[in-house]
Amino acid sequence: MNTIVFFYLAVVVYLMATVLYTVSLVRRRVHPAKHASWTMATAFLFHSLLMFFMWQGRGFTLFATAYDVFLFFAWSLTGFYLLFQLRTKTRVLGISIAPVSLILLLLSSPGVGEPVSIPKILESGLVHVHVLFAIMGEALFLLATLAGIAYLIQDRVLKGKRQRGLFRYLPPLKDLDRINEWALIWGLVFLTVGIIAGMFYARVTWTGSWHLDAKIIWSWVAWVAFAVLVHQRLAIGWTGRRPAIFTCGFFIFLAITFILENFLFTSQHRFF
Amino acid sequence: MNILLVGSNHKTAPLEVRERLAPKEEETPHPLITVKNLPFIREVFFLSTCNRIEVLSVVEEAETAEREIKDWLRNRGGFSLHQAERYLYTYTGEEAIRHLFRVAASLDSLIVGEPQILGQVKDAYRQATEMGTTGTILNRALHSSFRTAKRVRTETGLANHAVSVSYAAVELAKKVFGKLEKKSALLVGAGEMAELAARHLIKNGLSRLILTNRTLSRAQELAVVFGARAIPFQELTSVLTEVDIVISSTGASNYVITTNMITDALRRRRNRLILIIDIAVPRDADPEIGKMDNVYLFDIDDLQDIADENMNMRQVEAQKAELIVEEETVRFMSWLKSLETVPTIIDLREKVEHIMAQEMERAGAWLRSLSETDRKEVAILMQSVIKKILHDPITVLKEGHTEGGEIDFVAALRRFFKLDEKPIPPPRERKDDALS
Repeated sequence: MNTIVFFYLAVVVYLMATVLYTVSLVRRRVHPAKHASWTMATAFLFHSLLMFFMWQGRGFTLFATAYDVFLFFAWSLTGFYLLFQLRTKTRVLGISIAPVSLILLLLSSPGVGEPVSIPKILESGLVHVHVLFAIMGEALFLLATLAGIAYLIQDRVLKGKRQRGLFRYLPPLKDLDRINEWALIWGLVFLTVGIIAGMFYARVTWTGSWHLDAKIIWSWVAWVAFAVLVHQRLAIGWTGRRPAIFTCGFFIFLAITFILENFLFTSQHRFF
Repeated sequence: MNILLVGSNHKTAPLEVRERLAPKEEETPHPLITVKNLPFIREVFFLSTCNRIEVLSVVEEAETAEREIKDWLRNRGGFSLHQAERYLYTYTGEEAIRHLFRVAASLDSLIVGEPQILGQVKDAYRQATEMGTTGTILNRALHSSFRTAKRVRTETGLANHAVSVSYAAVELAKKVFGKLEKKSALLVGAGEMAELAARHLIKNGLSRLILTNRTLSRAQELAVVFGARAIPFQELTSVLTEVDIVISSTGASNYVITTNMITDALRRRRNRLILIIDIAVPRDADPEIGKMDNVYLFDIDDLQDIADENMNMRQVEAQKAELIVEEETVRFMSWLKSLETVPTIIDLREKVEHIMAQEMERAGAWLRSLSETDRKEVAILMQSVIKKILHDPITVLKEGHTEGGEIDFVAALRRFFKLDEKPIPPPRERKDDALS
């Protein structure tokens, strides 16, 4: 029961945050965006409670369905965004975060409050570590991408010498660049932990040529993309526009291949 | 009783006149006291900034008081009666209040929307309260002016946008770097506008300033003023590696900052963002630089465009601000009107009658059990108690009218009996900020 209540609360409050951010952008005032940040934090609280009650209801097996993944992905995205927001005052960036979280939450709605049968395989501790970290890594990748897009828009606005219009209150370039950098570095760390945990588990439990499983190959591609970006940033000294472009490019590529892979290949990763 | 404002500002009087009118340091007695002691003056507030002198007062004989204040100002400023016509302006009643509100909201400023004026009004008010020269009316008027200014700041975008070329540089720096703490700037060459821009940057948190000039001694002189570091012109290339913001305004006919220099600097600074503001005519920085990644180049025309566009926005916002001033003026005037004796007596009677009616209503069941005659007796009894209680305060109020102290009595009475609770709604207050 709690689950459903908090689900609706979270949806409504995310919607409110989205509206407030939009108002801030359209009316070119920072004031509504400040309220939006608090609204966003409230939505995150409801979202957390929603997941807590859901998991409590089934003995803390965290991931049983694809809906759980959407739910946790949105939670990570919002959480990381709010964390970054504490360090840099990039309120207006929330305009891209709030709707994404909202959509993911809506996508997960069929799974909320429904009884599930839990496959035995998903109850292992290692599997939990694997999924938690991998999803948080991917959420950070999305955050890096959204910051990258905002960076590219702000860059165009400044280079075009035009201050007018909707984008007047975009966050400063430096802050967006920093978010992109942090998100990439921590995303790589999380994804690495996630992949290693998964591999340990697979070595022990799975048989056959699981190394060539489509989803595993995809994960490696994603990992390499991350690693390349982090390397270019830290070792080569990429800053600003270039990492922003490449982050967006890699992300779009990975998103498309992920969808294709899900449709075209069978995978040992399919439990739901 | 009337409100009177006599003043002089940048539009009506030249600087040297305003200088003479301003209070001198350690002046005794303070102008506030001097004006307060003039005949027919009950309350005084005195505002003096580099752009204006305003004497706001509550007076009894408006014409005499106006003459007294003008004479005092004329002696101080050393100008003739004829000149006074031009230098001084006078507003009374509602117009005086409107003027005060416009001043506090920075609508009457040289640079409309500049934020310092409110602080200056507040300081002046603090001084007046310390010297005890303000009373019921001016206290309320000043507080209303603060509220007006705050509303203008939060409900309109009047103060949000840079309207000067030099300040546009700060706006751009904030768009690129966010906070300017831990950021450094390099001033190449020295021009008034570049110096002004540097000053604005420092005021906004810039932590380090480096100066360079073809003649090193000139840079060194300026460095002392700013508390900055001066370097020889030859080191320009190497220092481009470390600074975040470059403001250039040399008189050179060739490019002082070339594409090669920036390409080189970018490599050495590992592509950290750099903002170049080129105020010089002819230009100091090769326009090609602006096309490079991670370099943001703005010339004087770009800055002017930003300032112009912001100016347009300000004019739109100023119209909204005038509406707020109007609203607050009307509100204040309606409060002031309520301070008259007769309406207050009526309000007081109504309130007490209302209480009585309510209490009779509450005692309904018991009253109905009495006979018709008894009920009338009870009502008469209560009426006479009320009359007796109200008799003295109302008498004093009416006497006060002839003694000239009615305002304070009325204000106190209105507060004691909470007679103003309905007519004045609480202000809507919102917060809004500049960038981020």
